[in-house]
Amino acid sequence: MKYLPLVWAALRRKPTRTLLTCFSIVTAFFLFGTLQGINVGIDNVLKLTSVSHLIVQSRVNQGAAMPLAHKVQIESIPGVTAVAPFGIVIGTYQQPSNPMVIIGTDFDAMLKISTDLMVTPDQAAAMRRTRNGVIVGVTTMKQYGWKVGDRIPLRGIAPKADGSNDWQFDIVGTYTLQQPDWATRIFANYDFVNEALATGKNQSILFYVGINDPAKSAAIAQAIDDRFANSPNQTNTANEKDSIETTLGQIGDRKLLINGVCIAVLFTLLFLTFNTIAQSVRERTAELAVLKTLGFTDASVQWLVLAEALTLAMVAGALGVALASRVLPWLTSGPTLAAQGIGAQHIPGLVYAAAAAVALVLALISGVIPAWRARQLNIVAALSGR
Amino acid sequence: MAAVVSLQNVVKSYTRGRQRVEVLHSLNLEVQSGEFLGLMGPSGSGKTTLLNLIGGLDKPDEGQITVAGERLDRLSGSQMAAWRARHVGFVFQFYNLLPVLSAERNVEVPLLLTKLSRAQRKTNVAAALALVGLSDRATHKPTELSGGQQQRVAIARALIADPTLLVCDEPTGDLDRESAEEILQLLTILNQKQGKTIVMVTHDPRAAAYASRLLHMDKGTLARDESRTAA
Amino acid sequence: MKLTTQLLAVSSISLRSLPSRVASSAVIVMGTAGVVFVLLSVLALSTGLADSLNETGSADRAIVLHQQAANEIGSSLPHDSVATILDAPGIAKDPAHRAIASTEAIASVNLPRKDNGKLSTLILRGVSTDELLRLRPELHLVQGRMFTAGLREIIVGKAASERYANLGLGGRPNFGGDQWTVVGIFDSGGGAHDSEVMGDIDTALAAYQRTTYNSVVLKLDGPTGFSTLRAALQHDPTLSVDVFKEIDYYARQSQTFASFLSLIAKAICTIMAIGAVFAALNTMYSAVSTRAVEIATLRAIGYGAVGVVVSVMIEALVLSILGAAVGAGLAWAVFDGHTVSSLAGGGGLAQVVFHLHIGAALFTLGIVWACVVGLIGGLLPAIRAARIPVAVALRAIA
Repeated sequence: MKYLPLVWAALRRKPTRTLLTCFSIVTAFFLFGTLQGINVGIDNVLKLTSVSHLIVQSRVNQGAAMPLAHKVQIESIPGVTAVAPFGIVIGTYQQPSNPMVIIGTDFDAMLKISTDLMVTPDQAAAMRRTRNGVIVGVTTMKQYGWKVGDRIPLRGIAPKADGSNDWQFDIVGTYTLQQPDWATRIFANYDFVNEALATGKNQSILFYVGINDPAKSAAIAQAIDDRFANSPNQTNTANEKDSIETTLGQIGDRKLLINGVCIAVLFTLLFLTFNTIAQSVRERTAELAVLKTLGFTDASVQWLVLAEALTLAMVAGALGVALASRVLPWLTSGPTLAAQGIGAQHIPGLVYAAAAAVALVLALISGVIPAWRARQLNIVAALSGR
Repeated sequence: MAAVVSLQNVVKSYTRGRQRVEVLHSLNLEVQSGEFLGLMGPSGSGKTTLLNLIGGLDKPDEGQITVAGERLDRLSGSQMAAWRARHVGFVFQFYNLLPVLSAERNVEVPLLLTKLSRAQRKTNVAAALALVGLSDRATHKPTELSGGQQQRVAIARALIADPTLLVCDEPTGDLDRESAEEILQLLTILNQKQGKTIVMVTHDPRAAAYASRLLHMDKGTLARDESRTAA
Repeated sequence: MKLTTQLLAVSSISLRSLPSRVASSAVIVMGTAGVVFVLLSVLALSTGLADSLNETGSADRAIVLHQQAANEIGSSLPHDSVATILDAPGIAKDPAHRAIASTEAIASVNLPRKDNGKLSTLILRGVSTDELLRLRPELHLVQGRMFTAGLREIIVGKAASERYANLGLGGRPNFGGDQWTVVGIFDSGGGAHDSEVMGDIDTALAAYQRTTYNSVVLKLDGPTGFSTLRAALQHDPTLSVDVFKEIDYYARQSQTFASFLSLIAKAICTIMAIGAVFAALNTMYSAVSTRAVEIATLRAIGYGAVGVVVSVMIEALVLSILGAAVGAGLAWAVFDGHTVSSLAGGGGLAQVVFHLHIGAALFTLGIVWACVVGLIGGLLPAIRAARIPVAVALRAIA
């Protein structure tokens, strides 16, 4: 640690160069953190989503509404235990820039289907009693500072049957998940929402379907799609995992793409850091020779140069990842994702560790040749060279 | 008085391009503890090579070198580095301070190799700077100091680890007359009051006049050896 | 001295000294190469898909869909509407005076892929057997024969045949609970249809117990055919349909996906380009400082500041364009001609197989990005170069 002033002095020697190199490393690690954060985030979404229930969507157009009548037909298919419709109210809360999605559903059916949904029995009972009740995910509760018992006014985008755009929902309870960050949805009673709507009555943009045997999910999904194959409202049924995979846009090979970009970015960076350290060593030939005359061994001069590369890479890399850790949650929070039950993503510890490892390797590779040169530096030759 | 420096039959040659040039031919020399030795001679006479050998920056091709009780020709590179840290202080013509460090940080550098605590290092640095008369310039960067002041910082750095020997290569070569006098007086005080053994290369007769013993070199051999009383 | 003479002189001096600054110059080259490589690779995906879908469409064909249907799979045309459409003016006629048109229905089917055995979606397209080849002259059989109307026989697109198990000649895949036989393999020149399977429309409708069609694809009667047809269809009160030139329809289909991908590519590459600009600044600042004496000498002799500024900029540009060439060349070598597949057909429900193509347009785009990096990265150092105080810099050598 006492050598730190020397390392620091070396970096301060050409502040412009050090800063510019630093900025390049920051941008690279920002990209690395964000992209790998998204990568791992998607993996986590897929890992945590369940294959124990099915999601029925319109085959006609993604997000298009299906008639509520499908519900009864789906319930009649063998293996189906419960069906919950999703009737959607889109509105804004307090200000126009604050969009919000309310999901009108059969909450009891939801509880039966989605076993990871955690609600206290008395709040579930309150939901049954309160027509305009909503059960809100803990993350959303925290985000807006809501409490159970609050009344939430919402300005709908489309007018209601009574001509007004104003909705009032009473929070009767909250739900949480094993991953509380993802408890982002707002559930209302389908019947309340449906009656109040002026257009799009008796429709559902998707159905949650509980099944008695996850092993048979593919067969049951096929049976549901076959049932509507001849109707103008064909369906596309998949388990939640596959469904989210499609929604998130499984383009070609996502991991290959992201890793490819990261490798290209870091490889480019390697040259830059190497050049900075090499130039700095070249310019400090005499200084390094002086350190050696003062009694610094060849090895310790070598380590000083490596420490210089390490400090540069670690500090700038940490800044880059820190920046990414602020940007990623912002990128991944939005009402659309929230309504999908996907909360803001945070950079997982694994990515932090990977970034640290990458910075370490980067510093070692880019520093090894300059450090070796510093080690080999001959005092007599270096001092007479000026 | 005991010999601090002892060279026996030392041969040193360099390869310049394809040619091999013998710079020192079978040289013998003893420097006693407490001496202020001046090395003079035309350029190419081998005085800097000799200084580098005495300071442990370079190794002889043949012969024995004993400095401060250590056979330098037998030491490995890292042993030599440790030996330098303990026994030699260097003063160069162009000061060779680290440009981004303040005067006190520059002086502190050799102490980083010791086991001294931060507080001890601070005390020693302050004492060394006081000795060279620069206590009020401790936080200045080299660029903010005059040539004479920079050389005094360099001398403080050379003294800080209390070396057996001070090795000076043209310490006044880049200074005006007045600053040069100040530096030479400082070296004399160190020699006489603190008993530091000093070996100094110079081509300036007025600088050489401060030495207690003067060696003239020519073509890699000792041409003339004169002892004199201190000026 | 004239400015151009000065520029030539200064630039040639600075470019000639480039080799001595190889290591630091390589930073600009590598930096821009990285940006251009990533940019072109990702954009090759989006343009490859767009090209593929655009090749599917032809300017002399039109497609009729139900009003406001976003795509074929969301469109439903009853039998009597189809009859009305086929009678409309503006459609080219065959020698027997029948409209050159195909009434089509599509169903998405899942089949295991050859490479990993996973289920993947492709389209079974029922087409009017009689007019198929007259309507789509680009389609030709490379193996086997045409399917026979009334039998459960299909012809398979080349790309689909290579990608899916059981779709080779003689294969017997299962669609909608029935066995079908592959009797031919066709090539339609790289369009989306090459990822499809085609069979007789009436057989397909019967197999899927359907009574409505998805679309009518027809050949237009000359350059005025489209406006004639559109006017006729729009003014018919019994019809609620939209008609598009096929080329426009496919362009629109590819747009969402392609623009999404190109947005991602551009976002990532903008951030990378910022990093590359820092790298370029670094290199050019150090180039200017190592050449300070040389620049000061030129200024002392009487060269103007503009010449110095421009010569530094030119050096940065030359290096970054070199980088663009390296990046583009690398992207071309690695990805050009590669086959990938993506969900894009049939309104995003079926996989379309397409080729990555890195051509002149992408190369140009890469060069433009590199020039922007070079210009921004060269500007500040160039200004510093012009401001080097001549006397001070010259004294530094003394």
